[in-house]
Amino acid sequence: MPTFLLKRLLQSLAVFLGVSLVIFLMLRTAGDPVQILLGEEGTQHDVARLREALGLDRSLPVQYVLFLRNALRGDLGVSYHHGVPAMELVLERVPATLELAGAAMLIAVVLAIPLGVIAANGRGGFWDRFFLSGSLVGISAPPFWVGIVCILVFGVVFRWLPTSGRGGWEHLILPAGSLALYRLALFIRLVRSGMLDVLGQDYVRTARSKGLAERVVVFKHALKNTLIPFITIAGLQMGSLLAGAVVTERVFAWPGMGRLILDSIQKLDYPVVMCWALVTAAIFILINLAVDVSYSFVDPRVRSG
Amino acid sequence: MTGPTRPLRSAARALLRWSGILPAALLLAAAPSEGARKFTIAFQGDAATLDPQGRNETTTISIQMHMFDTLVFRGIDKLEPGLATSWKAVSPTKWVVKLRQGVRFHDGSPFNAEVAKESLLRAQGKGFAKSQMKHFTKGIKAIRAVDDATLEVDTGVPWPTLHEDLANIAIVPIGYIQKAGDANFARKPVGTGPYRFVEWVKDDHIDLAAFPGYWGKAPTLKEVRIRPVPVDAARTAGLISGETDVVWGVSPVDARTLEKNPGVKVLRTITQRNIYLAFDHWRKAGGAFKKGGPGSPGLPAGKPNPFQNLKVRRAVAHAVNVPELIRTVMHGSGAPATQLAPPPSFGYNKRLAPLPFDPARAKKLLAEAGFPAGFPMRLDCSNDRYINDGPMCEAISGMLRKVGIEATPNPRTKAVFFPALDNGDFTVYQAGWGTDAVGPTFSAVFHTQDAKKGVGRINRGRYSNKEVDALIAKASSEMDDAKRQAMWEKAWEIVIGEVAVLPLYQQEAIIGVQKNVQLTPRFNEWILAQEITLAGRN
Repeated sequence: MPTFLLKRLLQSLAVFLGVSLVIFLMLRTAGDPVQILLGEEGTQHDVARLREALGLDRSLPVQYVLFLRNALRGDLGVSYHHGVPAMELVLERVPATLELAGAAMLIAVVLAIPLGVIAANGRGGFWDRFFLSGSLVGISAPPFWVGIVCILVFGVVFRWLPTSGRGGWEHLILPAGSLALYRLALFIRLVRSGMLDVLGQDYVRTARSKGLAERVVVFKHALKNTLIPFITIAGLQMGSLLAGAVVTERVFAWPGMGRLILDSIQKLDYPVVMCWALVTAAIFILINLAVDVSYSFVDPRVRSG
Repeated sequence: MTGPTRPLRSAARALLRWSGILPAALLLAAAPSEGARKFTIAFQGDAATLDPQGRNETTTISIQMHMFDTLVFRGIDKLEPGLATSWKAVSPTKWVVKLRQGVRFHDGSPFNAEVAKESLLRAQGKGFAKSQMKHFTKGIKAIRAVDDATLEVDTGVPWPTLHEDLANIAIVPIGYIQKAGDANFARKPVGTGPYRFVEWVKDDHIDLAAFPGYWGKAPTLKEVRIRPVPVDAARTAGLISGETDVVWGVSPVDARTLEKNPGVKVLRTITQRNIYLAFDHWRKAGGAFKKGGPGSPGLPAGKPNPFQNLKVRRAVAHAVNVPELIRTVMHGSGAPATQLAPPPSFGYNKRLAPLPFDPARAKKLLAEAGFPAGFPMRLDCSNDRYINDGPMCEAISGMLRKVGIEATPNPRTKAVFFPALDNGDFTVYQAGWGTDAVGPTFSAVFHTQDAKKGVGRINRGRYSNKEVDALIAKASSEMDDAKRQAMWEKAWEIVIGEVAVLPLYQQEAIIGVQKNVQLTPRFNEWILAQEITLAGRN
């Protein structure tokens, strides 16, 4: 285990370096933040002075080396737009994003497992066809549209729920629900196809012929073996949700990382985008680690091998 | 297998039961939020910072102006006394500003000439290199606090517009900032304004409460919440559902819908944001783009640049049907512009009229200029900076094609579009200009380009007219208001007569409010809670 962790740590460093370089180069070719900061009304002197103050007058390699040097000292730069440390801006938004992502994943996982099992068990039946076609809608509906329709139906027509912002749990239902929709649809299909694979296998037939209760056969023997691909995909989905649900957060004015990053990219706020990318990379590394470790709980073969 | 097994059937039954509970729970959740809600104003974005000298951007300033005062206050249609009760140029280079007495900051510390002086110096960058208000302090060479109530400003050169500059600089509590530091001041601001800061949850809300010790008229609304809601449709939905009282930036399409809704009102005003076309005046012929190169990139290589000819620029003006563009592309939102300034601004020339839409005349002018068959060109535009700027680009191109100018629209994102303009990668472009200060407008947009002197940055087409340059210099130091007004009017007459740029229309600000909200919309797009009253309550 220690060598495994050490190896992972070294890999992570390489990932961080790669991510920072790619983001650095991408941002530098995307446009000019000084123009956006000053607008049309800034004068030449303002532009030159600001470019110098932000260090953007230096050559690209020098800028990158300076960034690395400051990063090693724990200084990831100050937001051009907000004037405060960029990492602070990103970390401030972690709780909101965590709350939204957690709620969405909870809804999706808790509903998807029983629904997927029901669909697989009654293959070709009414519920199977119902969940399959329903999940097709869930996968294909664009999140922006889902969000706006949710706001219209539940916020404007029925007035059951607030249309935007973060507050009590009633603020969470619409964004988490609309964010969960796609994952729910995906997971139902995943569980269903996994179950169908497993239910046809010899050991399931053996379990049934031993006279085990159907409940035990389905949930203990069959379901457990469909969980490995499910956990992998769910982990990746969780990662992308934690990086910020860009569209959903924007539609519902949710104060999370997705909204910050979209605003920051549009304003070419280099330090914030960079911090976000590094935090996101860290989240993915941690989640993948957690996924790998969780395999060993579900599948003993991973543990021994 | 035949159908769902028993445990599964009961699971499905449980699910159905739960699905019945959900809507009931939703109903319960909605009940308590009614009534207890604070008066809520929704902007599109959040404040970038709450340091009033940290970021010069409309929404940020509008939010900050609840908590801060300036010496000269930008009233709805004119400058008014703020923390200064009067201001006067006693000589061309010296202004005397009289200050309001007995004013206190939200933390109880007093406002006086020393605080005013230090605030202006901080805006200049003293101890605060990040100040974004530096360009409003160019006229300030030296400041002296004569006594508690008097400030003397030495401008070095004749500076007739110092009071306009002062209207942009917030007065800040220097003692508090020195103790708490700039970063903490930006997080927990203290000002002299009608509202004091309560709470800021970034990207979610800013809470304000009326400051009981405010020197001016106590605001009607005692508690205010400001919220950023980025998506237009969501902002409008919040107004219809009754969650917000005032909504900034209603899209022209949503405005039409809201106007049919009896529960809300739509308020419109012309803003200082002016959309215009600019032309390449300096490159003689078309050619592939090279920075500093001789080719105008929006024209075929080797072909002469038609826009050097006044007749062609006038032809463009006659070809573009601005009222029709406003009616269709802008859904009725906006007003035709005659110059790059809003009507209530100093120096505005009331006598100018737009060239009328007249395609036949446009074709005739093109023929006279030597382009009877028209010519192909590229029209550069942004597509995410101004209201409907992308569709506008297409529509204008279509109108130009009808008179023979084969225009190809080239709409791009602002982060790419503006740097391309600054590099000279355009022949004709559509952009916006948004200030009511005539001096800065002329020196940036119409003065012969000279990077060393810091003039002509937005004069990317390099229009150059010695008479205009001379007028700018003269008007900028003319202390007599009437004479200065006449000079600027003359300058407008020249640049518009030569179609140096072609002003198209002024963007409108559209605000949605609940029926009981009374508010006069501002042409600088601020929304100030202290200017809001409620019907039936004052």
